[in-house]
Amino acid sequence: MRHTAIFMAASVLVLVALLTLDLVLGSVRIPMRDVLQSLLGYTDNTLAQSIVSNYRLPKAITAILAGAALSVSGLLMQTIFRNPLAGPYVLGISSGASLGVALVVLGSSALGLGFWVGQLGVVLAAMMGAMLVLLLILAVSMRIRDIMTILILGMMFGSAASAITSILQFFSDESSLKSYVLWTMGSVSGVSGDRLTLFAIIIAVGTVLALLLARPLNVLNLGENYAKTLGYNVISIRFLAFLSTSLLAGAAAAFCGPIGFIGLAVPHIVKISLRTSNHTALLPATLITGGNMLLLCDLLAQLPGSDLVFPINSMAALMGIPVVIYVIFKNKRIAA
Amino acid sequence: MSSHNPISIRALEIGYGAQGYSYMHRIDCHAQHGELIALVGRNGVGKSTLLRCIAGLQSPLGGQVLLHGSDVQTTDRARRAQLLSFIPADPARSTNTTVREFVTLSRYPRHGWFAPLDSDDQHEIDTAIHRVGLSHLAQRHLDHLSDGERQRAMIAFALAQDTPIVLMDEPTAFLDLPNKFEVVRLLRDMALSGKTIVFSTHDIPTAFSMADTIWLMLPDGLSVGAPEDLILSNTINRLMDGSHVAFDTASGHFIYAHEGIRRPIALNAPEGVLRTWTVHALERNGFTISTTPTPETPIITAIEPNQLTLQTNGKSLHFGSIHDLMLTLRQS
Repeated sequence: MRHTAIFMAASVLVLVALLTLDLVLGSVRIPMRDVLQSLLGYTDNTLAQSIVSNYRLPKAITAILAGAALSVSGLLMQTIFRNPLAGPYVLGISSGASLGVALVVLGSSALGLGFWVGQLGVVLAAMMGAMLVLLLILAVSMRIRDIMTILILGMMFGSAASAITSILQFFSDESSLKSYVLWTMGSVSGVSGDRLTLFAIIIAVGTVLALLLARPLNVLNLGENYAKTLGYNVISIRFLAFLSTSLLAGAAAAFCGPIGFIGLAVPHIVKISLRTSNHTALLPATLITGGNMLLLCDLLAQLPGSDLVFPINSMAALMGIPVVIYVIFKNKRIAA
Repeated sequence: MSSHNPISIRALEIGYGAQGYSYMHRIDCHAQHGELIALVGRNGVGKSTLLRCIAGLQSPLGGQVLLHGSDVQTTDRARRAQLLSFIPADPARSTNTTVREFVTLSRYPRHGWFAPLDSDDQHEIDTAIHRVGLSHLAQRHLDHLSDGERQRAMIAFALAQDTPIVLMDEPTAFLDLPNKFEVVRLLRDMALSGKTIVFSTHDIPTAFSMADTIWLMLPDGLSVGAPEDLILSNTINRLMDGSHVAFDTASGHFIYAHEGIRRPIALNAPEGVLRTWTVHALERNGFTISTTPTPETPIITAIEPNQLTLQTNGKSLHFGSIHDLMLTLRQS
């Protein structure tokens, strides 16, 4: 437990440091003092005030929320499927969200409906797409016990979604195509005001749900038989975990695009650091480390000292993949 | 409550209902307080299914299982978890879980989803780990334990769950002989403290030397009795029906029936251990001890384990071990 406390304290310090850097660094140079004054609401530097509170702060909060959400949902999936390579991305949840968005963004133009659905429509479509994949996986996982079959099904669904998306892309006009492609690259900017509030509420609900599941997850981690004999209803635990995952991963994909590898890598970083399988420690640690991770990705994506901004999805993949490779080499049971 | 048997099984029919296929009809039996029961039977006869039905994890095709007088199927899950502990056959595997963390999970049924564990729980957990002799490994991760240690951790789990009934599916699988006996000894200790224990096993020697009662599961039903009852009634041999193995009720050994014709051989040795094991070696190699030897019958004279003589075809050969003697005999 002491180990966990130290890790949590260190993570909070890292969060403060990263948040400060994220607010200070950017294409427009704003001194630390002005940033602080803008946050506190009294400054005569209106440009700084505007940049910090309308752009940088919402972006940083979005990154923290999305990173935390993806990581927690990844942890849930790894425990539920008892597979270290499970995660929203691997299981096709992001693909489901992408298909939902493609149907709305591309489909509406292809069908001549125009872009009437708006931003909320994109969010809803992504959520429903994510939910659909999860329900499919849930249905299959109740019939087929073999976890590899379920993973393959997730991959197949991802491919099917890509195929349908390609058809939609082929028939859609240039501007919707561009807005779809930009969505797939991922972005933590552009979520502010009411939408940021909505995003935060969904993430909060999903996270609370996940935290409530800490004890059942500890038991389920040993296998279904142990959970049943200890008096837990495995089906309802799974259902709640899937619900939490679709809220978290679905919302992250809806508001920020399909950001991969964070959800897969962060739980492993936490597990390697804490060396425990107790979810009362893993869940909060994953939550905060996930926020840190995507915040770091955002910092690196905007390439400090230049005006260039890389897609955050690429940064996340470049940082997450080494962790995943490490886990594959370390965990011989995956190969078996 | 106490007037009821911990486990009563009434007209139970088990099998895979989805296939409309019941492979065992009408099991009627019961288990008492402090009874250590070994569930024995061939592969696929339904031992795990019976255990899962008793545990309420699977519904029977007919009949019922009563735990302390109430039907397991209608007993509330949380209540059931305080009445009965079921340790499945799949070894507890989880990376990054220490023995203590693992055993701690068994206390959850007493506290629901949120209520914190108290010092009583901590005491029960430590006691359980101590009783299986794993105190020095309490902080070791499950995936760094040997099979025997992991099985003992699983018994500590059942101990800490502290239920009057404990079911274990094949707790002695994958274990070496001393560990098999050690595991069954721990189960017997639990039974001596008043718990009712049912464990399935393929290890008949261990079961027959340690259990109070054998539930012998055959395709047409369940035979219940003390190990000695089942041996004396020769019911145990029904386990080996259709195989080359037989239980020799006189010696208490399992014998593999040798195919083909046995060759006669004469043995010249005094009654005792040396004679017993020389006969054992000869029978194992397809010979039968002849009491009416002809002049052609080879003769073995055993004086000491390292002084063995074989007389055959007028020659006399000396051997320093049964192994050497058998190598020569097999070639002749």
